[in-house]
Amino acid sequence: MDEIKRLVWKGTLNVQIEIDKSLIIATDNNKSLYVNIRIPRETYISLFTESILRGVKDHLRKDLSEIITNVWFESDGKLLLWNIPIGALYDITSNLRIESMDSISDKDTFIQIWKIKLVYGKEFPAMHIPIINGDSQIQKYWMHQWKQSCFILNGSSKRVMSLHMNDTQLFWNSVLNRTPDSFEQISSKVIPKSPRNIPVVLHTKGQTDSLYHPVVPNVNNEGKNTTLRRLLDDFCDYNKFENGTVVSQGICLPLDLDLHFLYSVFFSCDGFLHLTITYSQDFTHDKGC
Amino acid sequence: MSRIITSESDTDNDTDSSRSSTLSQSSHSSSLRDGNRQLSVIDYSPSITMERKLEHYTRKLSQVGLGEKEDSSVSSDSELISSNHQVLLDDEESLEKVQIKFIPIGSISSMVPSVFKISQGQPFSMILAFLTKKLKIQYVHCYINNSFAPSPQQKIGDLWKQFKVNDELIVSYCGSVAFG
Repeated sequence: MDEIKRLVWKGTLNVQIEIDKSLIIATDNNKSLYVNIRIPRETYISLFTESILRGVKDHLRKDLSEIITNVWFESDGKLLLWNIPIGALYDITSNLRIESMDSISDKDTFIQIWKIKLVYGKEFPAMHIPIINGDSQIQKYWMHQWKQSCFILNGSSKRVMSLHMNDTQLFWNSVLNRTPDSFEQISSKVIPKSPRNIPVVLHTKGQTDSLYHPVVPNVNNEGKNTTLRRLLDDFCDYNKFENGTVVSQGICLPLDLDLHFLYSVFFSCDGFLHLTITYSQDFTHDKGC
Repeated sequence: MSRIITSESDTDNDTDSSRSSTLSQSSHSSSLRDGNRQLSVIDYSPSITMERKLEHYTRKLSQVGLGEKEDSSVSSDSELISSNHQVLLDDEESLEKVQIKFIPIGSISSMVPSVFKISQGQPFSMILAFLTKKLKIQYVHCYINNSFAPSPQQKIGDLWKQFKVNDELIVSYCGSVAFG
């Protein structure tokens, strides 16, 4: 179990970000400008906005401070909500999934890249939460997500609200600085051994703006632990789901898995278990699973 | 020689998926601006057929003209109805209304009456917009059960089901940060 958690924590994405042409000083060849970075799955994409723009600051038309509050990310023209961990965003939007590295002939040199776009505009797209106060706004949002997940797990947010100030900062720093021990140490103070309910967010493949927060009891009325199949029975159009898949942390999940177990190994940096449902009609694009 | 696979693959998207994406975008109702936030009510149902969508869309468009009248009856009916935010959610359940109880924190004005009804499919940002309009203030901070501020994109129905107390979602509000 610790090994799975370690692998989840270490998961990264190779991202190629195309900078909006309206931000770049025009040149003769009018070529697009790209930034290639590797981003941990368990983080928010907007934490990287400043460093991305700093990487191309010599090519920007305006000062970075004038731009930074008016940018967002898109994938194939669809808004990427910064307030969802980037790994979940990738699972929702990407059509590529590799079944096994063994199936790749040139696996030593194989690189999978997610192409997204950094867009600038004065009018924000619907569903986007503008970032006015930089990382501190993201930190506050993240803290409230943890309070909400704590409420779902324990029936109150007391465990998060009573965290020492130092622990709270250490917790956030563990996300920023990628220190798994601190994250594990503080999150274990919040997550009980036997939770009341499991904090789950259901996403639909291809729909970046579709979020569903179902009520998922850890133990159902029959005294049995809730499984992924049961969750789908209760909340999805099962006929449509037939042959579909559920993905978390980039992995196709067996439906007979206990959700509590699933949460304990796959929960995201915001305290929620993000599950992406691919319905059968979309399955042809996701043959890798 | 290294091989690079990218996720940007127009050919991967078949016509069905691109069509459903267009529908989803076209079904966005008018955007709602709340201070720094701009959100819209969206269609969350992935299973809707095109026919049902068009039918519903036509019905909702016909309601736009009645919007202003509905808005004027908000306070008298104790029902939270937005003239600008059409509900284009096709799932009938999302049109059902749930009770929200507003509790002021500190010196901010009280809402009279304190209990309102709102459609389950509306995003939480709708409540923020409603409060700023009603209380005539620029910003408002809202908390569920005096504990946390949910994402403005989260559906009110989901919050109600998860955190209701006596069939009411308790929303505390304040002019400044109350629970940081």
